[in-house]
Amino acid sequence: MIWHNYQLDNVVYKVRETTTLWKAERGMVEVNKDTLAVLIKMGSQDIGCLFHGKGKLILDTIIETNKGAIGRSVEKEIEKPFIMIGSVNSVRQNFVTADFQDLVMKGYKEGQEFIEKAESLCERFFGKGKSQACGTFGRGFMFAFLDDDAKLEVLIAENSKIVYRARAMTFISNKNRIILKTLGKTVVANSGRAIVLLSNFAV
Amino acid sequence: MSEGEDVREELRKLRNEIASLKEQLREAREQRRKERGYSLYIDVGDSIRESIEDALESVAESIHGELKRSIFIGPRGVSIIKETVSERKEPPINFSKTAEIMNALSHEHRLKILKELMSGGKYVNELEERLPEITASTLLSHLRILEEAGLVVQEKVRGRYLITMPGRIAYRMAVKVAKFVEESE
Repeated sequence: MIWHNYQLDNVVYKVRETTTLWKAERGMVEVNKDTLAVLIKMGSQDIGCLFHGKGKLILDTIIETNKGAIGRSVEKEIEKPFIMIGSVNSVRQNFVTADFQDLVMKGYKEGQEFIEKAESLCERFFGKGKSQACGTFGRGFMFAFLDDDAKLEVLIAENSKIVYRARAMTFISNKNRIILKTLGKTVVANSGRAIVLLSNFAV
Repeated sequence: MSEGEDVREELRKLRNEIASLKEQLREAREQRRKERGYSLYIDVGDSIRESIEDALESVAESIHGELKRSIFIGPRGVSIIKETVSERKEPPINFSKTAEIMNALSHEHRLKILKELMSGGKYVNELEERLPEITASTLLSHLRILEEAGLVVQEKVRGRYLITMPGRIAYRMAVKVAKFVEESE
């Protein structure tokens, strides 16, 4: 394993059409046309991208048990900048270089201002000045979103394995084995059988 | 030795046997867990790793805490602690929600939809096939009413409709009440 620091590319792109960044049986992330993007690099390798524009996160955090379904889907309109770590090869095909007007539309005076904002989010995500392992991430994706209070929400997905951590919810899924923790309730399920633990359980 | 003492001795032996079996089961599960290992390994930044570790710890603590509070392991074995009637605080009745649920149940078509969903999640076209007497637009309208009442939930990616835990209870309750009324007439 080679150790590198992450760095942001100095070219700002925009997405030329609505693009699906990740899609699986349980969820999807897509960005709309004209979303700004900057590549995240480690050494010479593109390891991800930072986006700013409108998009959508949908995640079916529903557990189907033999006693009925528990939970509901997460549907989130994305408007704040977010990070995607994973293969950018297919996404890059929809990139074109952003012009001044594209930056102004998103409230930036110049490309450098966008890159500075992107760097500050990357510092929160990776940790300031820390070296990172540039290992293989396989076919997986990792997303870091900002919620309304600018707290990080994280989604890690690789095939049927999903980890989603938001302020009021933690969802961990590996095929039929699922853990869902929401405020006041924890559900542990395996192949349709589930244990529901209510945190206000009075003894 | 009296008959009562004999029974007590027998019970003591049975308890010991159960405890021994439980220990064997625990060891077998632990061995299986070790053999399976962990297949997902992602090496990422400290910040994100800490966030996920916090989440996992929080889930584990929550499960451990609730089990500790709800399961009592004593000399007579494992028992589940239940709320006693005197300790239970009856929550105030939400009449508005109750009426919404009863309204959702108050249509033959919606009860038929719930019945279909009792056997597992279904796509709209599957429901259309199974319930040909309901038109497509009416079916969607019924599903929306059931979803708003919390009796049904839709997977947004796949589009399947699933009956919820309250949905199953409500359907069974409605069927039982109808049966009871029929029998008492």
